Amino acid sequence: MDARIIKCAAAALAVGLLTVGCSSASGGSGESVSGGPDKGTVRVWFMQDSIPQDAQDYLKTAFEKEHPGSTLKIEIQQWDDIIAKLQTAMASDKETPDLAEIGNTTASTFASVGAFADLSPLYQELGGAKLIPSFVGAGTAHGKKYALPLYAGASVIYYRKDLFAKAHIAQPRTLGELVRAAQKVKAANPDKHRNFQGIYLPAADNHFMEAWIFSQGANYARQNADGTWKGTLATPQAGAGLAMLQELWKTAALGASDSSQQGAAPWVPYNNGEVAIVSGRTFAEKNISPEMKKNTAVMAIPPVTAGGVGHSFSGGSSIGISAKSQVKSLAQDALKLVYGKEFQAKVAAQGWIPGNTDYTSAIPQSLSSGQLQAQIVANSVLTPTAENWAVVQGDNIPADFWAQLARGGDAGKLARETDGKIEKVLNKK
Amino acid sequence: MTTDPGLTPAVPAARRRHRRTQLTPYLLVAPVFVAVIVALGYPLVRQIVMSFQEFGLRQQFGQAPEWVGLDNYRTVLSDPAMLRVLLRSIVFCLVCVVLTMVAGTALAVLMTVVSRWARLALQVALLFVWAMPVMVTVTVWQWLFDSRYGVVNWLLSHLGFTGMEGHAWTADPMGLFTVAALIVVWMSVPLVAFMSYAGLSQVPAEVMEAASLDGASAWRRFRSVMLPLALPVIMIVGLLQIVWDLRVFTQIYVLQQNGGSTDDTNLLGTAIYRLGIGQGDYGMASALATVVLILTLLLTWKYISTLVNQQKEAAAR
Repeated sequence: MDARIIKCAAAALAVGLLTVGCSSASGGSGESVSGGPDKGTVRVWFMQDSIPQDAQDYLKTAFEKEHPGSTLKIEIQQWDDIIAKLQTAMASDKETPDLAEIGNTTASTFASVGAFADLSPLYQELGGAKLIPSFVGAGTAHGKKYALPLYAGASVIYYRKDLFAKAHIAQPRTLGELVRAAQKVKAANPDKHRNFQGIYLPAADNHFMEAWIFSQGANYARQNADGTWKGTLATPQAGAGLAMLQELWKTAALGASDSSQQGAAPWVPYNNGEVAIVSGRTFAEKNISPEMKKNTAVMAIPPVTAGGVGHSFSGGSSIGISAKSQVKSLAQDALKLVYGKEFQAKVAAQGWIPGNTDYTSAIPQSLSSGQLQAQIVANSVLTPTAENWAVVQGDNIPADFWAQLARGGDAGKLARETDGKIEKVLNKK
Repeated sequence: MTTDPGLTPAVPAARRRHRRTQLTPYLLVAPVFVAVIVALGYPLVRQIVMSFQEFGLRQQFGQAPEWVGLDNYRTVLSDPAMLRVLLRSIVFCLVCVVLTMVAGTALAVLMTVVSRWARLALQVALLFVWAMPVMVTVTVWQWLFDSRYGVVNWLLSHLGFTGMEGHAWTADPMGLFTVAALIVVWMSVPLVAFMSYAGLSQVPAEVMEAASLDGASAWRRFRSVMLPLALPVIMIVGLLQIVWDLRVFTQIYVLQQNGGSTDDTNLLGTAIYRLGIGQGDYGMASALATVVLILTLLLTWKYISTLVNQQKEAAAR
């Protein structure tokens, strides 16, 4: 293919996307979650590699059996540029999917701008308190629930139990112990590996970095009583987490200024024996080499004081009914199937934590048990659920902050500057 | 629009034929014209309209946009960060264009003097570079410059630059621009080389022979005979390069994901994207995009008029 055309197209994307879509159709943010004809086509957007094929087949078959004469059409979307695609498609009466999966970090933005219909009346019926709390929070805006959790993936810590045993280190129970374990295993270097480090700590893996402040009870920002947001990186709690990270980078960590491409493949240095500890999603397990797997144990990101698990970020997706959907009643029935036992169990069988945590028992056995994963996800914390949080991310504000911190910048000064940047964006009307 | 000539039987046959031939060029050009209007005209009009509006995500989902006059332009042009982006883009564009043109033309000259087989090998290699999708190229270059396992750092540290072991290239703005410029130039050189080669091979052999009989050196023959004759082609390619390199996007955007210096590495393409898609501020992004359009026209105006003059001269000759 013509490389110049691709390059041009990519550039044109920036300009072109600004101009498409924007139907002038009336109708505000979904006042009602029902309505529409009894028969019709329900279009469902799932993301690439998210919902397993058998769950998709089940949804289609079960829905069409319940609704003779209606069809359910599943369209698989690519993650690249999905935000722009949702922004344009969901704004149009004709183009909108009726049910749409959406990444949990962007769920709050789409909920706030009125892209989804209000699901509050259905909340109890679809699972209520059993639904992953941090995800329900992400899809809530103005006190109404617009998007509910579809699935989550837990982040865990993999470590070399053979090296830990040789260096006489027990499984860390707190974040402080994790720091010391990394330092101790590096000092011992039982396998005498050249340039050995305790832990792989790429600043580019922002969500792993977040676990260090979330576990301290901090976050990027919190909402004031008057609805405005206040940056909270320059707080003692966050500061404690940042100090631990900087200590690790200084003493026992690999990858401070790694690229995001490197950070996304933590198993590479781990399989090479360059580090004893890495963090990764439970899906990373399949990338750990067989000989390393024998020597690998799994733990949750530890809390500040011993007992339970720390607070980490759990990636995943939510799902909602488009405010512009013309077949809301039918879409509602499809959504009920999604939250039924069969669909949820099929999602869990894929290795995800299903949106309804009651069905985690269907998660297949691996290094990390379903129970541990469910515990991690139940304790997960989300980035601020502000309408403009997607903007903060789109501006690379967190990525820049962690990268500069890893390069040894003054943590206090960086935190204050970043708080300012975040507040400016979140409080923009 | 001209009506069907058959409806005016009073017109003599000769004139009717004349009118039909007059119509044909318009009919032939119509599909292109319609395509340009649909694909470029409509978005352009929308962009310009939106640049005078406050248009964000809420407007996208149905709220009426508010007219704000020149506010968006005022904000964009008075923002020192945006002016830095503008300046940076121009410098980056010019550096890339100069490097691309020099390397491309040099390769084209090389192709005119080497044996047929060497030329074929060179052309095949260039074709592969050219045909590679941009994301693949960016990924491969990122691997080459990988801080720990990359061949560039390995080579440099073995050549005695010990400080380069584990050096993170994309962590600081200069390193990021170096890698980005390398990728941009790498991907642009084949087209320039092919086009320039086409131009250079148009130079008649007799002219070259005459020059060498007159005792002109190889450099002199290139500088005073070949280059002036192939100049129109080379200038067109150069013009395209300026336009393309001014709106470079993918290379910068992908490398920026590493974090650390987004504000210091934004070029116009990424700045517009971050304003529009990232921040959902379509109005402001449209204003900036319009500024870029005007800037492109300004930068290339002299160029285009020179090209037009050359064409006129050629036609007069």
